[in-house]
Amino acid sequence: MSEESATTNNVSRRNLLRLGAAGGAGAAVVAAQGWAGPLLAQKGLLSPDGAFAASSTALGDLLFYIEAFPTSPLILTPFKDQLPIPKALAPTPAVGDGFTKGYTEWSDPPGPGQGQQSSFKNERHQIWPNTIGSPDPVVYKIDLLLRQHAFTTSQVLPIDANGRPTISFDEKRKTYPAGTKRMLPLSTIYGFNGQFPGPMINAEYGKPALVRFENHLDENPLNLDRQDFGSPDWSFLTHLHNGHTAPESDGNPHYTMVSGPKYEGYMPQTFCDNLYLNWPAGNDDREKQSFFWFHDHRMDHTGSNVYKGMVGLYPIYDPKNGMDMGDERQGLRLPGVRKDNPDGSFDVDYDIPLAFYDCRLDDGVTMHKDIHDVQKEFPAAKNPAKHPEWWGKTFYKHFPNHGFVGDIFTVNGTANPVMEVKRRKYRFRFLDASIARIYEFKLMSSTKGPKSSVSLGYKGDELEGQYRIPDAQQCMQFTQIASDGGLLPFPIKRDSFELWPAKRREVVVDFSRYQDGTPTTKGDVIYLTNVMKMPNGRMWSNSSRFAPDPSYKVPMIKIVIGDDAPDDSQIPVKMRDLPPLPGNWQTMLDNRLIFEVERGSGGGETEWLINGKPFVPDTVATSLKNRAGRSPLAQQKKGSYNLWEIRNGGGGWVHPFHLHMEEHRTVMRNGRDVTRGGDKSHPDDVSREDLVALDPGESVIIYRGFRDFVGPYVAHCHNLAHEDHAMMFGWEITP
Amino acid sequence: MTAVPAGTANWSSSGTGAPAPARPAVPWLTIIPLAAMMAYADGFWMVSLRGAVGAIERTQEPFASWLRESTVLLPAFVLAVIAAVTLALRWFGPLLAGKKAFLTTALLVAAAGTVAGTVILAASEAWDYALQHDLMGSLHHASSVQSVEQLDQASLGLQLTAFGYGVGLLLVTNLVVTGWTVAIRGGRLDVSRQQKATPRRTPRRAVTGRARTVATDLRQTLAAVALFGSAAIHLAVIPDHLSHWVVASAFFLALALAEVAGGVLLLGRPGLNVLVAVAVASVVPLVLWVWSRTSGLPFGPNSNAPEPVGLADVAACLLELGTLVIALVLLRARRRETGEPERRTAASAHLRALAVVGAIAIGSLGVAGAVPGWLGELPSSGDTTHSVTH
Ligand SMILES: [Cu+2]
Repeated sequence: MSEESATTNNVSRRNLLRLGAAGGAGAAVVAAQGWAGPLLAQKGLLSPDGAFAASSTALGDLLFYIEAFPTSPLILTPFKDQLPIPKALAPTPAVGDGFTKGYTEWSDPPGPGQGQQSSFKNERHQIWPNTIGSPDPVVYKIDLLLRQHAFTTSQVLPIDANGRPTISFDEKRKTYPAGTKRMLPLSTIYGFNGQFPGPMINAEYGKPALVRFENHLDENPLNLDRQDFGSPDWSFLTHLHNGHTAPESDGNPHYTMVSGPKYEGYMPQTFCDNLYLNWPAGNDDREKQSFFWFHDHRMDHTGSNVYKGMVGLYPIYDPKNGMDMGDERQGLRLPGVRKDNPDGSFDVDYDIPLAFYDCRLDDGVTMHKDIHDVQKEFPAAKNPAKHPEWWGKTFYKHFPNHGFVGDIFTVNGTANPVMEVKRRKYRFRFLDASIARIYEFKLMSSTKGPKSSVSLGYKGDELEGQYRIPDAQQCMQFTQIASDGGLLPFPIKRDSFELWPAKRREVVVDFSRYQDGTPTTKGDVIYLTNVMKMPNGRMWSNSSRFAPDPSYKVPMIKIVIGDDAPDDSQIPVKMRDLPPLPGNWQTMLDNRLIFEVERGSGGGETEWLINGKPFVPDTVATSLKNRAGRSPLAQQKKGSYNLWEIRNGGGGWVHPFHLHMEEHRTVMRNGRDVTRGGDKSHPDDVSREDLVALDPGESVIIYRGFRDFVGPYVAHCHNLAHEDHAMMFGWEITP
Repeated sequence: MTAVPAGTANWSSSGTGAPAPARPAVPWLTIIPLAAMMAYADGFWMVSLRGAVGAIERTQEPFASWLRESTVLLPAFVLAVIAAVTLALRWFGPLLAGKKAFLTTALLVAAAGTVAGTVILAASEAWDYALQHDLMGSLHHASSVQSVEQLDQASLGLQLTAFGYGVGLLLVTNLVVTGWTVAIRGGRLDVSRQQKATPRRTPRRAVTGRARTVATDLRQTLAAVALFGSAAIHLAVIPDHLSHWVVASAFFLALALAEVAGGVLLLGRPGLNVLVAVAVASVVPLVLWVWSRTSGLPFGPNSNAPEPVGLADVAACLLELGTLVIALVLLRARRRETGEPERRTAASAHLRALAVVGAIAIGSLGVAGAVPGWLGELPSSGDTTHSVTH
């Protein structure tokens, strides 16, 4: 019957439609699980909330925050420039010698009196060394200068994002055809004493140091183009990361906005005396640290100032009982041969600081455009505009939605350096001075050596780092001896370790043997290699902990084994005990202070918030409601201790969260007690730190003290793009 | 095999091949799934967009927000779909004949959902902008180069861009979702349902529910729904008031009970006194509301201070106003036509559903607005300027 067959036809068509719709949905779910699932899991987004965060991020990237970064020209002959090894800065004598003035002869000499702390003459040093039984400080003078810097002496080949040769320019905007090999112009920097990295001060516990930072950034003797980054009013503010320092010497905007300059930083032709007591918190030897660095902290422009060169090094030794005084024949016998200089400073051989910094060089065709241009901070640049005249100089973006990472990796200011080492043990002090990049280091050897990523067929973000060693194999281990907070209780053997922005980690490497026991021979080559792929400022895409990419092995330093040398150093069994944790710390959990770092759109450039609030410099933040039902202010009594919780608000970002003033100790990670170690991803949780490394979705509870000083401090994300866009909060110590 | 007209056989409604119903009823089985799919799919985009450009206060716990907001806004989408279906019914009659009628109806449904989504998106983004504007204002960067206006401008620009993209996303999503929902129902898209159900389908409903609703005047139904809605809103605000003003909570409880009682009585055969009582129950809160929002009430914890206008109270007022108007109309009709048999308004089932769902939508929004934190309204924890001088 026709009626019947029509109905059958109808029914089968219905079923077909139903089947198609169900099948389509099913396929979509399966595809989403197979493809997006692992991706989301790595970013901590495999949850209902995470799915929304991922979708928000995707929308943001696709529709709202479209940004282009230049591809730096390819360095053609890498590993020819020597790794610069900084020498200790000479102090300023009390009385001059006819060439230079002694500090007692300065028109405003440093001292303990009222008005003697800065050129504003409105503050004094909270604790002068004599009140804690220390001698008067060794005085250093560091000028902020507008100068130039070369990252490489190699020829370069201008390439585009696909790795193809492309056009380039010179300072007169003359165009060079694709394929022309070029020399790089010098990059403009704002530097401590005009150099990058800035000077290194070798400090010692018990010997206070006073550094007069004087701003000469308004002077332009070389008639340089300042480009469009660096604080637009040329102000600076120096923070010693992470000295136990009084607020007026700490270089934090919570202080400067209400006292001293009453401004975000110190303007040109002003100075500030930062007094570093080189005295452990609470005068407790167990609080001694070993490696600081000083860098700019000018509010809203920390990232651009640091990127423009304001980085200095500050290893600190402990002469007490010769424990760690740079002499491998004494105390812990860590590698180091100390040479005392006639000017009062000292240098330590085989003890080498390594400051890592990534940058991007302008390709002359990328548009310079961000919110800072709307605000007319750099009117001379006439942005939005392209700047062919800046070709080959450092490129910066203040307000990157994805965070800012470079594609040229430098060590101590030099891209792809080479270093000859003796066949003996070395101490390396690693520092990440990058805006956002996290590294993971391995010591690797290779028979075929590095190949440019372009020649291996990589494109886009995969070009970051410029070179790879396809056949590299791990050949040595590190012995980690210290983290941010100084020497660990005991050394830890590591195949690799991560270095987050502003973090320090110290290791001993024995260049006389490989990890399998075979001795090294002169001429052997080892590469310090970065194996963490971090395509943008959000987080890694691949690392040993999550989804390792065995083909991402970027050589950072070429290490060439040289002659034998005497080695009196030893790797100790035990180093510095941790300060005690009260037995009842768990009872403090209910009343802890809670701070959640979040990504949020406050509009304009307020994108990074804490507890839903942007940084307000004259204000103390409020904790989220804790288990005791209170939302306390971030105020602590002097001499008190407390638990603070730092939470990652999610969204697929990682945050290196830094707290000024005292080192802390991690007691809980994601709700688990880690006071006895045990977290495989963070083996040095059993150390003191000043930076909480927050994986996606992590929450970390730290125990910290508030000793010796009173006044305003800050805590902030050390992804400097986050810090500069409000991910900071003020807190204070009350008498 | 005889050819059956393509449109009817393959795409049309009833599937039983029954003749067109004499008096078309609302095809809830078509409307609810379509509305729900669009509400939750559009909600996904709205919450995601907010995560990208919205105010931070409203971006925490996006999954919960999505569930909550999509559910609260579901009646609005039902309203939109009924409107589309009603229009299609006008244009093409109770049975969709032909591909053109079918496709036009599907497009109408998607478009109506998009209109609802767009209105909601606009309101949501306006709110985001207002919150961001407040945040900007609270920032005081001393630096001369950063001006609040410029930041404000930037966030407004971002919201407008987001709105533009958002409307596009909603439209595409609603087209896809409508297509998929129709497909999963075997190509079924009804603009009406037979008034008298065939014994094969839902025999029970025909006797119980239907007869009752038909018997009640639309105006009475509408007023009853509005009363239930405002009762729900008044119940929802009780916990928030409990902490600082118990008297107000008691008042809201009494009011809500009165409204429920009024609504129940209206559904029956309301006498003169019931209508008067309903009118009074609507006038009193309206007067109090106007008073409290203009000069402030002369009593209570914050006496003589005007209260801010919110979503919940506006929704309640709209419902009360509607009830009042209906009560007055019914009163007048009663006075004019005493003794005559009651005249029923001859609205179609579709129009009746439109009105009732509209009232429900307002009530739903109001209830959501009354619960703190539900539509993102959170008590802000105030930072304090620090106390120590150093
Ligand atoms: Cu961050």
